[in-house]
Amino acid sequence: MHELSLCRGILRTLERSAVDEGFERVLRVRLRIGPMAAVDERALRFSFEVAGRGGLAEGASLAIEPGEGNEMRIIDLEVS
Amino acid sequence: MCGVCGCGEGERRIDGRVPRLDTTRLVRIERDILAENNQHAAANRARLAALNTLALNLVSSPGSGKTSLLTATIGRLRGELPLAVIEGDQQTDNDAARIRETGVQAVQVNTGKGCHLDGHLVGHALDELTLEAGGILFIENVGNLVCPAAFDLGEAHKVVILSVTEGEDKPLKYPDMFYAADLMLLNKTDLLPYLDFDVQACMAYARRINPDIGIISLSARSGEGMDEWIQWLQRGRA
Repeated sequence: MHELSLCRGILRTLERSAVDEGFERVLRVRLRIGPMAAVDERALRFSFEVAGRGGLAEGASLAIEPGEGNEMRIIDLEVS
Repeated sequence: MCGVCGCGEGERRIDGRVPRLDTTRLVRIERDILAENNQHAAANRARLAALNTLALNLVSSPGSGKTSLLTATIGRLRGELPLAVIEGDQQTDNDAARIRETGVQAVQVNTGKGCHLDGHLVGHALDELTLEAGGILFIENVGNLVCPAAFDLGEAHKVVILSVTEGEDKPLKYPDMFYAADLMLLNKTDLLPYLDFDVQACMAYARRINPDIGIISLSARSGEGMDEWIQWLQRGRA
């Protein structure tokens, strides 16, 4: 259930990065999520799509890599 | 160059579309998703450290007896240490009202649709409390064994409460929470004669997930095991 608040956090990071780095659209977000991070991948994907509507990451894809422990990290973005 | 679609050299594809490499680029972030929450939590931790206050994040499923345990704990420690409570629930002021009846200050935080407290909410709750130095702040999280595991509030320890009316395999079913907690309180032990709950198996499951977890069996109702819990709190305070 908390995946939606995680996604809001991701989107805030993207919005800040868009200002700093000067991009308008996010095409892909690469994440690393550990097995003890209490994150359900399906819920995260669904929340990301819903939370991202109407914003700079609308339609962006999520690439999720396995991490360690409770790691929960944004690695990089593909932007235009 | 790939013979099927022509990708590789020059990225020219057989369908004639040329990827817009000129406008697409990679931006490195390397940032924790919870970075913002963690900033709030770090600010809370600094505030609590300045007041030499031991903050505990109490987590459990709904109905494990968190609030009854808190009122029993307050009964033992009141007068000895300054105490304060932050109560998290989706709705109602009921739990904070129960704490205030004991004479200890309590702030209720309603998360609305939210399933957990976060560092930001707790920061604002701290604004409403008048903490005396050298005491204990109990933060009773929303009853939920999943989501609160992920959110640091600025506490010294997460304490997970599991009641013996639940299944002994809860640590295996909800491992993230038992992995995140430093102490497990096995509550409602006065009911054990009426249940098939296997205490040894439950402890073994908890240690399988988290070998370092401390475990105290107690009953807030009968008082059994409460001395050990109070001593744990006093050690944490010292």
